[in-house]
Amino acid sequence: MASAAATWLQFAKCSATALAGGGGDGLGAAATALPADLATAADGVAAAGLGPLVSQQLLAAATAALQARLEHLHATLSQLCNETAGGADSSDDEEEEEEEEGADDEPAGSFTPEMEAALAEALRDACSAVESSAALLGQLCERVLRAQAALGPADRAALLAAAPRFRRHASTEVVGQQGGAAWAALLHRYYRSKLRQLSRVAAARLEAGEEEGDGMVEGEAEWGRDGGSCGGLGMEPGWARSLQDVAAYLRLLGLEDISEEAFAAVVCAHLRRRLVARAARAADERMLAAALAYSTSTPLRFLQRVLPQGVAGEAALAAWRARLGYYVYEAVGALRIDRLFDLVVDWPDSLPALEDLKECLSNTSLHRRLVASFRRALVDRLLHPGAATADIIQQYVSAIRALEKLDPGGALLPPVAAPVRAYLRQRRDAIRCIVTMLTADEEEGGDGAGASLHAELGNTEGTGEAYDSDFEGAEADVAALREAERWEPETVDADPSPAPGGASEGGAAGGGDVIAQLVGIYGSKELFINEYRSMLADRLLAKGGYECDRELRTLELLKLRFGEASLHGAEVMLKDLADSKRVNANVQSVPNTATPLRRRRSLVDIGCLSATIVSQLFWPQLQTEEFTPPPEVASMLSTYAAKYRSLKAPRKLVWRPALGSVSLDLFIGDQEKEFTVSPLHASILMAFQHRPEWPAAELAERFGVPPDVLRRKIVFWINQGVLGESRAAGQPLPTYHRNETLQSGPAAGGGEQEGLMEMEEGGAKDEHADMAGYEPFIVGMLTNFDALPLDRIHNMLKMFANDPPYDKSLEQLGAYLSALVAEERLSCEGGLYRKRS
Amino acid sequence: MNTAARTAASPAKGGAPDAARPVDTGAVTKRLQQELMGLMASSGDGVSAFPAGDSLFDWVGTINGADATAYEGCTYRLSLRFTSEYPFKAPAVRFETPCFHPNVDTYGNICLDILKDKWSAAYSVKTILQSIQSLLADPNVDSPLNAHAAKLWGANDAEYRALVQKAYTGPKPAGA
Repeated sequence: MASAAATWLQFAKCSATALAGGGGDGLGAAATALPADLATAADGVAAAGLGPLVSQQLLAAATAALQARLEHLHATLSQLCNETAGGADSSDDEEEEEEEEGADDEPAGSFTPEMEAALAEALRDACSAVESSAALLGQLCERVLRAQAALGPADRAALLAAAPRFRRHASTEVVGQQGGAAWAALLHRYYRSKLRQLSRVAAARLEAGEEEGDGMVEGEAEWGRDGGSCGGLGMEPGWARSLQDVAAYLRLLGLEDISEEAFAAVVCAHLRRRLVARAARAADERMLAAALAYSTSTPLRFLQRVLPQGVAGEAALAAWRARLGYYVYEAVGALRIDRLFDLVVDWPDSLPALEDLKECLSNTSLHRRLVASFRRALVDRLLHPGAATADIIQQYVSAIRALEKLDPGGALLPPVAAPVRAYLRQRRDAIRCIVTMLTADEEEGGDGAGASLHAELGNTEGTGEAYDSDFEGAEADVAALREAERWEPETVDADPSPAPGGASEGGAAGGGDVIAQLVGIYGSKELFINEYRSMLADRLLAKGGYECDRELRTLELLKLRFGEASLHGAEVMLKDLADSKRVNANVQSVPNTATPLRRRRSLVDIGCLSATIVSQLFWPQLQTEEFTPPPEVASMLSTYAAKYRSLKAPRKLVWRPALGSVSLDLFIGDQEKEFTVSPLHASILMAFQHRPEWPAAELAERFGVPPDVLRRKIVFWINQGVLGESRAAGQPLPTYHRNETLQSGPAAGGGEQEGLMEMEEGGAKDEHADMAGYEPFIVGMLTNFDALPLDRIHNMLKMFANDPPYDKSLEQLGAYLSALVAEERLSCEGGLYRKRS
Repeated sequence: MNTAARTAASPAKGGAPDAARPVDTGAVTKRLQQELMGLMASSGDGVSAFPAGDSLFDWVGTINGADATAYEGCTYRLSLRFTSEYPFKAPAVRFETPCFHPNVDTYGNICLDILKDKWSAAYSVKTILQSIQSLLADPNVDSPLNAHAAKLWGANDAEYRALVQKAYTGPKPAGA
């Protein structure tokens, strides 16, 4: 036993010395033979039958020895950590951005060549220590194994596994007390500075014009030919060598995971930074192709050095190529999605960016993110009271087109459009806006919006009744059937929160038919058509002549879309105008001496009067401020009516004198001016023809209009310098007088301004006068209910005030109530209005 | 001059369409609507009323106590409930604000002949409220709902006044 113990002791001593001694120059150590004394000791141990103990003992000894030899590495590591982390925390992204900018001066936290050398050396030492120990261990175990043949299978396995186990221990030791985090941080910084060097050199080469193409493109060919050395890159060979070495050492030390994590993060951050800078610069050109090309140049070149050489390396490189490609798709997609709102605003200039995004979407699954982010952007930036309705509609139209471009399947649109549609439904002027945009004249509209929408009307692709209805109805079934027939699987599930019962909205995605989408907001075309009719009425009546070719064209287009039947009324309106032209000519040609007319006295010349004769049944309610025309005009009207009756009995004319327009030549002093004004304006002026001065009340009575309406009209002439206004002290109403010469503006200096202001004031007053009809209701309400919130007042007015019918918006009511509060008629606390007692 | 004119609808085309509002509601709502317009047009007689909610059949009324009476300065809320037989049947009217009065009980029920047997279709919301307003100043002590009030009326003016003020709790938020 004693000899066995002695043998064991001898072996332990020898092996410890050998392990601590270090096997010479690291990587080559595996080839060196076992020292003779150790070999003998091993044989002795084996002979003594102590083989099973060997693996345990050796592992402990080797680990202890390694710990000592790794001290240098750990010292270097902590020193490097301190040095590189000395500056600002460079893992901060913005910091990096700045570093990128000031590329020439070495920023804090980057690696100097000396530091790199120190790192490489420490790593190499550690490697050699591990390698030599492991080799020694392996040999010893082998020897013991060979010498002691009669070992149990478990012991044999333990001996065989000793070396691999040691390696595993070793990597834990290498990581050391500082832990993986310190290594990760250090390597991150190291790789980053290496990559930055490479990209800087590449950029410099680009600037020197050695390579064609723009910043991103570093050709595939270049990449291939550069395979062996970095000489062609203009980078000192040391760059590649040291990087390659460090990476190899790290692999040997079993730090592959930490290393890979670090360089993956560095490469992705690098790419991302490039893409962000790029995307911020240009939305009007495509960047995806260039970005993909770039991802295979500098980053891949870097990865080639970092990844192991040989066949395994090739495979890893190929995997990385794919990974980087996907990363680019994802990053570009994310960048574009974040700016999608602006891209839509810039439509169609942003088309290239959208094409990028489309490609990204087809390669990734960013749809959900797109929907969520765009939806949020719309709600935050568009759907608030500050945005004009026309802008919202315009943006909605752009969004429809952009999303159509992105996803022709139309799955993206419904979830994004839903809040816009809901919001537009709340806006009272939305219909009017849409109709205006649709029917706006290209020449008169001037802004691209109207023109483009009108052009859309001509696009008869989605005709018929295929408007996208949010509501159910008889037509919805037909539409649904049609939808079902051309059903295709939706590209993706883009809607993160499919609304309950949202089938009609999601399913009936009308795709890019912008008009159908817009009309569909209201669910029924009736509203839309009614609005169109009232606008058409305004437009036709405002017209000087009888020409309405353009309206006819618009009508025909609308008929294609909505069907003949629903636009019958509008058709009659246009026909009325054409008839008017004919009837007018006939009436004019009836001589005053015709028999049925002879009985009527005082027939006057009606040569300067032409009438638009409308069929009341088919026209919308014409809202006008009626007034009594002056006698001269009244007699002309009655003559015209009499002649009409003689031609068209039993029909007779009912005049609406306030509608229409008057062209007049005004002689004042020695000047002559031409005006085209409303009949009331002209009549007011006529009153001053024979009498130079009129008190406001008397004049208002003459025309049968309220004084404030009169004032609003007369301000026009005052501003033109034709009439003047004077107010006697103590008189509530002013007196108007005729100017004998044309005043250049109502007064010298800021007169015009004043006039305009007066007009505006008049306008505001008028609006309140408009609302004043509801004041008794509001007061009545607040008398009987102590306090009411704005919306309740609004609703109650809608419900109970119908003379005049309540048609104001919540905003208008709010403004009016604020005015009442300002007049101290009401008070408002916490959103509740009260009557002041 | 170009002036728009309308052809009066020819007999063939039927009468002129008064497309102002759809008159889908019955005669009762029409009448109540008219009364509302009338009330709104002539405000400031110390009485006022307004529909309470979604329908025209429930109203809230307000009466100010007439000057120089025990009810001076008090504002009383009432509820008026119309049936579809209005105006041929009187609405159910009651005080929502507690009111100390010989002809008003503790639940707000009112004993007033025109709301019972003397009702006529010629009465309106406004006349009802005005009648109640005058009832406050001139109670009918012969058919009291509140015997205590009837006893005090005319006998002990000061105590009557005090009890009116004690019962009065100010205008309540009605219809909310």
